[in-house]
Amino acid sequence: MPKNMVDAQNHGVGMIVQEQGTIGNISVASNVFTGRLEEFSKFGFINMKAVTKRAQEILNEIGAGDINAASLTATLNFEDRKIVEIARVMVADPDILIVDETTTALAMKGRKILYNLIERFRANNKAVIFISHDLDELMSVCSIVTVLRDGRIIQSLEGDKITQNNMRKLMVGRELSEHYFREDYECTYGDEVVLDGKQITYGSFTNVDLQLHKGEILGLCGLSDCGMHELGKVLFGIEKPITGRVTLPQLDKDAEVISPSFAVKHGMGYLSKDRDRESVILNASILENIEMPSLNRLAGLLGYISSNSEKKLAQEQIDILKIKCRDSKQRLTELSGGNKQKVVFSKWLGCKSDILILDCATRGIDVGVKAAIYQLLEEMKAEGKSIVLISEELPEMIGMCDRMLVMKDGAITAEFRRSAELTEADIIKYMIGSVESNAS
Amino acid sequence: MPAEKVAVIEDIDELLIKKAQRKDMIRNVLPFLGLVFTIVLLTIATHGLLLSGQNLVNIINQCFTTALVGVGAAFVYAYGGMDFSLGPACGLAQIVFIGSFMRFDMPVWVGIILAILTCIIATMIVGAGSHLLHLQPFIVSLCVRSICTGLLEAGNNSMGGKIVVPMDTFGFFNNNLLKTIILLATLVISWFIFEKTKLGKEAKLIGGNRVTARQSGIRPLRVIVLSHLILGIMVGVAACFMMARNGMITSGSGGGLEFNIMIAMALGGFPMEGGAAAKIRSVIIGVLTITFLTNGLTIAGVDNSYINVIKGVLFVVIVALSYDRTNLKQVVFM
Amino acid sequence: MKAKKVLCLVLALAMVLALAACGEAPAPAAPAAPASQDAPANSSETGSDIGTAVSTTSEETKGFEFPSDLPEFKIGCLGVFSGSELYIQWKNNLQSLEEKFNVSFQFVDSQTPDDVENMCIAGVNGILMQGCSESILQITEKYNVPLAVYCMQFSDEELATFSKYKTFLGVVTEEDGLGGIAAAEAMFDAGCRNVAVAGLTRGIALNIDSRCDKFMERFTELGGNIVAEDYTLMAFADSISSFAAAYPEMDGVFSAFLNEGVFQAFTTEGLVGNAKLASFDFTENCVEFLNNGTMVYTACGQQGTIMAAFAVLYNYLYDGTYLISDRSSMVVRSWINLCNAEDAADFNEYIRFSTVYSPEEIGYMIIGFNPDYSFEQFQEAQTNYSIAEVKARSIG
Repeated sequence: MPKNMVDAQNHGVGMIVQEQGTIGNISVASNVFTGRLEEFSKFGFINMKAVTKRAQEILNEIGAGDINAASLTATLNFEDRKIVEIARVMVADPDILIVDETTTALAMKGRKILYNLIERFRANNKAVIFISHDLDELMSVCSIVTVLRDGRIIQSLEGDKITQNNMRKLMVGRELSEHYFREDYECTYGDEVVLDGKQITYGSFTNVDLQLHKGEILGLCGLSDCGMHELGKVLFGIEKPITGRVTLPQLDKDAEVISPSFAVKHGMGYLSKDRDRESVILNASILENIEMPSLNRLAGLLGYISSNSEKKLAQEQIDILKIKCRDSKQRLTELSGGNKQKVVFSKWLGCKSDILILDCATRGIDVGVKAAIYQLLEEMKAEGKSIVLISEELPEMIGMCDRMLVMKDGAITAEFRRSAELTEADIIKYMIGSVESNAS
Repeated sequence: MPAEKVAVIEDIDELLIKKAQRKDMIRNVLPFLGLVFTIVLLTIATHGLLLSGQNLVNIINQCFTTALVGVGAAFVYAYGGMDFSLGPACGLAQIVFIGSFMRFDMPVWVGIILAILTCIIATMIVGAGSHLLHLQPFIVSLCVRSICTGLLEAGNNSMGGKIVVPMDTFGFFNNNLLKTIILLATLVISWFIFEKTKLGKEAKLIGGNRVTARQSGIRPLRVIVLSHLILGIMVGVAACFMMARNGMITSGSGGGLEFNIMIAMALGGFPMEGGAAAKIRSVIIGVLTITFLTNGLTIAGVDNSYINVIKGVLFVVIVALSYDRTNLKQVVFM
Repeated sequence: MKAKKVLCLVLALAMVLALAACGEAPAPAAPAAPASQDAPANSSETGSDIGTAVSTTSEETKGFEFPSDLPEFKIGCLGVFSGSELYIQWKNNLQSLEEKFNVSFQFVDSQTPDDVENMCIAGVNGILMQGCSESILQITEKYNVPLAVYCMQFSDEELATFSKYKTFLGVVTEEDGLGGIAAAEAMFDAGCRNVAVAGLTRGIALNIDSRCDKFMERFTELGGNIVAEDYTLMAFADSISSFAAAYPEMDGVFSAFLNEGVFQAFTTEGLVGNAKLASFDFTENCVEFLNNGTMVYTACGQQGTIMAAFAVLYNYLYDGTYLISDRSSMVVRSWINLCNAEDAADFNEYIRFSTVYSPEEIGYMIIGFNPDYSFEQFQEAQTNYSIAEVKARSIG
């Protein structure tokens, strides 16, 4: 067993992690050659020019030539930073590569690069341990799949045995009913507009119009840098748009969403793509996390909050969402990703939010919790709540949304209504469509 | 899989939970044990003098300033802020107080209000300034510290260098009963606000993760302003009593207050990075520990220089044992 | 990471403040004198000095005998007793009295009301302190513990208030202003006309401020010219460097007390031989600077003051006698004025590391032991204090 990570690295084990594994305030090239810079040093001085040149070569080689090796890593988006990590692994050229949930952070471009890398390992007779929740991906990439559940190895599948159904069964531990996504193919929602975005410009998108109706699940999809994540933040008032405004027409036609506190006060909720950093407080208890947006409601005279009311709130949510924990005082650091996500949901359910903006709600969580979340979304829709679902996972979007807005390069390129005929290919065309048309 | 392997894994699970519980216990219990140990040891070393009635009254007197400012600072440290300008701000408030009385013949109650206002302004600049300008509170408080030190020196010089506080007017500040009442009231009220109300909870949540707190509808600016307001009031009140206690004001008045508080907080197990683990009782335990230590070691006849060594060692031990290392896990290289 | 950063910054700040705190103590002497190096080297000499002082007391105290069966007293000393040779000497001088007087001392490097209170609880019989305030006297009054003050000056109003308290025994001190005046005169006599002044940040220690004020007052009165003043904590070296650069006509520097920086700056700025130096306190470098004529004056000799204050305290402890009958005025001791190499050599030998007074000489000042002794004699002894007087007593 390796003593520590450096020891593992020295013995030919490399790893690409789920979380951020690059250092923000140094250049891309330095990140690619982390721990190996002495290879470029002469008399203690490092030839940064050579480092940058070599790093750029590697990036070009793996097909990520658009990343400038000389730029500061912090200026890159999450996906490109992951690609930088892949380049680092290329440099290290380990015998065993561990890829931990990396693809959930990656869109098409990054995934392709990673799959190429894995292919190359296979061709050179080296081993890759690929950790993932994405069943499609596992099927296409892996030769052996080992399923773990509750910290135990359940079974290994090989060859033909690797099917979605088999894996799901093993992961959940029981036969999953076919009920996973919505079963109806009706596009149903009320007439009232509950959230209205007009001519919003911010960051990478310009003049976007968007209307969310009562009881609607509205999907926002596209590649990860298309601007949809930022749009989500603007809708919730976290970022102020440069032009345009977001209003709550039901409240008042001038009720502009100017801050998250305003949004929360008027029944909105937001789940960030970067859950651990933006949606939960890891060092706080489940109770403290759940009560966060409800503090105003819980507070009585002089801001007094009774322990009973908080405990009641938390316990209710733990019961409803079946959060696995000892008690409501358990800290979030001790919970699995899926349970953490449930805590985020219970935060907003607990304060009775009517409008939810969910950015990658099922990112990095296992099938069981995923199914639970889909069911929850359906129930919320039935209660007349409105949901904006932001995601890169098209099956999920097709399976859940009433309407889908496809974004590309900061603009909405298409709108789809729910139907049984809708396929991923239809949507992908608009996600990357114009690139192809440019190329051709 | 053989059955015994599974059993082993279950043990490990339990082990992890036990480890987490043990860590929580260390954080919660260790400072308290430290206080008890300090008291027991020093009671023996002073042949019981430490716990004599008279000395217990003195202890209240001696921990008064630190306790008052400490509970105020708890709000600021809980949300992840800090304030290094407390000492000079406290000194400046004393000058303002005595100046209003001696130079401008204002009544004492006006002086008290002016002293409190002075401290509120100083703490408010640090809190609101650092939040609105996106500057490190450390930097802003260094600036405020410098301004307060300058004003304190200027005010002090303009009043003749050393200002003697007329005891016939200000003697009532030294009344033990008054001090005890104020101290107890402060502790109870601040405990209530910190542990039982929205403000306290919000401060801790912001300390846990400011981004999350904001995205959950908490308004950081409001919490920061209120926290610094509480701190300002506490420092102002403490300044009035400190002035009467010392009987004079020099340009060094109030010096070191901010460090005494940080040491007390660390000894009490108060997380300096803020967050959910922050507790008012940590501050109280810390203040009592440091006061008993200084008081008891002097009574026991220990040389002053060793007292500082002992304090330093205790500081390191407690911080090392109770410091939360989970934040460091995120550093991943490969 | 954040906590780590903060911790680093705090530690750095603490270091800076610790440095500043050296200046904050109302200390009349140089806070950074190179005591640690010199003290051990001279310790053998110190020992022999005590020996000579004891064996050869002056005419008057010859034949003085301590009464037997003296009661045991515990005395708390609050002030500064470490960090510079003068402070360490204070401690040594007091400890040289322990055996004969049957007293024991507890030293604390701090003098807040808290410290006084703790001392009282610890059961001391009396307190020697380098400062005083009404709130402190309220504490001593409560515990009925007498207090004598050394090396600190107070205004008449303060003293009038203090003397209302029966536990206040009086003040034995040097007058810092007098040293400043003497320095001004010495400088003027040495031919200096354009002088710069370097002092401690104003308001930290009043007595040190008054050194500068009186110096400037007297020097202008004599017809000299003050070209510049700088009061930046203890950065004397920087101040002197700037003076030298900005005022080429400058022919003298007065610094409120001495630290190594003063001599360094004089050497590096080429001021040796071109400008004169006057100051307070004594450090190793004074010998050389007095030898080469650069230093024209330094006021020192506070080593014995704490012993005189002890005499005041012991008088009260022994039988309730107030040695200083009028406690509303301070007993002012003369400075030892050093102007040349010969003075420096004598100072080094008889005062710097010696006890200044033998236990017998102090015992002679206790009216309970020696009913003939009077306040006038005590006063006279303080006024007559000089290098010649100490030398005469030592040689006998």
